[in-house]
Amino acid sequence: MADFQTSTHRQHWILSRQDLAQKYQIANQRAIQMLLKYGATRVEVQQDGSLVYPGTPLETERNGTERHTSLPEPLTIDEEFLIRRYYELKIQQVCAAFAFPNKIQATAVLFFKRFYLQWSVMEHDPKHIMLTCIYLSCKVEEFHVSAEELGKGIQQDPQVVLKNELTVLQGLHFDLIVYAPYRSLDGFLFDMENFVQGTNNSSTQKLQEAAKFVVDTVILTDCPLLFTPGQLALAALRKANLEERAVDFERYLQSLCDRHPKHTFKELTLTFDAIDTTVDVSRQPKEADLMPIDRKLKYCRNPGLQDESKKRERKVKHKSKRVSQDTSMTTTVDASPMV
Amino acid sequence: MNKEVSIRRQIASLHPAHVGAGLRILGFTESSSEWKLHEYNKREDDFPSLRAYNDYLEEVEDIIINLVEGVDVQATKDKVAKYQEENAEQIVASRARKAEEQAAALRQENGFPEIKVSNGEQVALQAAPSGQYAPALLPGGLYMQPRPAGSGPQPVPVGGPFNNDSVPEDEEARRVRIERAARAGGWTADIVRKRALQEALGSLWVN
Repeated sequence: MADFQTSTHRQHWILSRQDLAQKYQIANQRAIQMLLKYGATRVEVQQDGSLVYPGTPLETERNGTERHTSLPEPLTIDEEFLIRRYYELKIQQVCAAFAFPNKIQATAVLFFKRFYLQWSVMEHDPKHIMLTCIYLSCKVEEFHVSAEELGKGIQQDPQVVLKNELTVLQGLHFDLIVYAPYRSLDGFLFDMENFVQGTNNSSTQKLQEAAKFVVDTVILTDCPLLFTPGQLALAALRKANLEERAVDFERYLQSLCDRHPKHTFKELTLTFDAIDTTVDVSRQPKEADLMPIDRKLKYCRNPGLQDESKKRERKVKHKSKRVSQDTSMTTTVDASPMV
Repeated sequence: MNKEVSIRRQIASLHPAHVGAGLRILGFTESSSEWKLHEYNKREDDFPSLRAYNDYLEEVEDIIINLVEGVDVQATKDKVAKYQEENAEQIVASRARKAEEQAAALRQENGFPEIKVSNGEQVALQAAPSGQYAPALLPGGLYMQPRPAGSGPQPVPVGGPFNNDSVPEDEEARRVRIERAARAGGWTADIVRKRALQEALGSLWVN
């Protein structure tokens, strides 16, 4: 059966904060280099599955300085983080719209996170990767939906999903089994029921639902890559219990540590505090904040769009200037719209 | 030996009762061979000629030997899967037929003591000289009693709820049915709890 101790999840995909930051840095730097080298950061999947940076290699040195000014601006690591967070929420919403079982959205979000450890957001389009992650997650969690069904449901091209499937699998190093905190959550609740005899069913029910909701928000942060599912589950339980007040959590934790002397009370509490702070600090980006970042992303992937839009802007500016000259009004309205 | 038995059991889900004869030759008892072989369950009358039936039997024996000896296991498994697909309908019907026959046989066994109690010497007198099946001689009503209500001559395995035309199944009955089916397969609610607990406590620490 699935055993966490021997799993690849534990071996390869629980990192320290430094490792995490380093990986994001590496991916970001590589994308920027490709931008300088090729003028575009997007990676295309060829027929035979190989990945290629299209776009012509830019000439160096001679036209170097002139070129730089017309190059699109790359995303920073924070902006990449915001984009990723937006798309992870989208994954949860899409899975809810399809009424998939809960584990599918957890697996899909984890796949998405792990994939973007290896690659930068500028290199692979997050929307396509999001769809492919959902598709793969359905396969892995034994709830297969065909790519066509997925495409019909959200009005997207299913070919995109199939084309990227192998890329995503390679990005995950084919480590497909993901331990979501939900089953650990149920396990701890059962344990709690046995330990605390006084609890009635309804309060445990409410606690469970509140904790599930907390887990949904925890999954959107970086925590699943830093902490084990058991720790996430207990932290979520603790947080939910603060509001519901169903159990004396301290006593339960103490008894847990007594029964399993490997864990100490203090270490666990520190871990939970760390998880709580991470969750509290992160917040969902607003649509308005994301618009400029999304635009930057589009230009990075396809600088041709940037030139087109600049031309359009210039045309409109000319028009508005002519209009303002014709009228005798003194006030000049800045009518250049954001494209 | 055990490996062969288990393989025969699997194949038999597609296979006829006559392969049980082979098992008898190997020294197994009648009762154990009965419940083997429910997959490959074509009967002699399913084939146009004796020759065709014998060919079919030989094919099955080949498959079993391949699986036991570990020769061409993958190709053999593919063959079995293909057969299953092609004959799925047929398999279900044969299984239903077999189930009906078994039920009939059981009823005959149980029928005797019941009827003896109710009718006493009359039945015994009738049964002894004629040598026929006693139930055939009985007044029809008594024979019909042990028969479960609602089962036709060819009960299809999934036909349970559809036989009950009085009330469509409600949510509760459906849930009960699903849970009974799961428990029949060896599932208990305890398994879920144990697995959750194991994962919870096992994944609390990385090192």
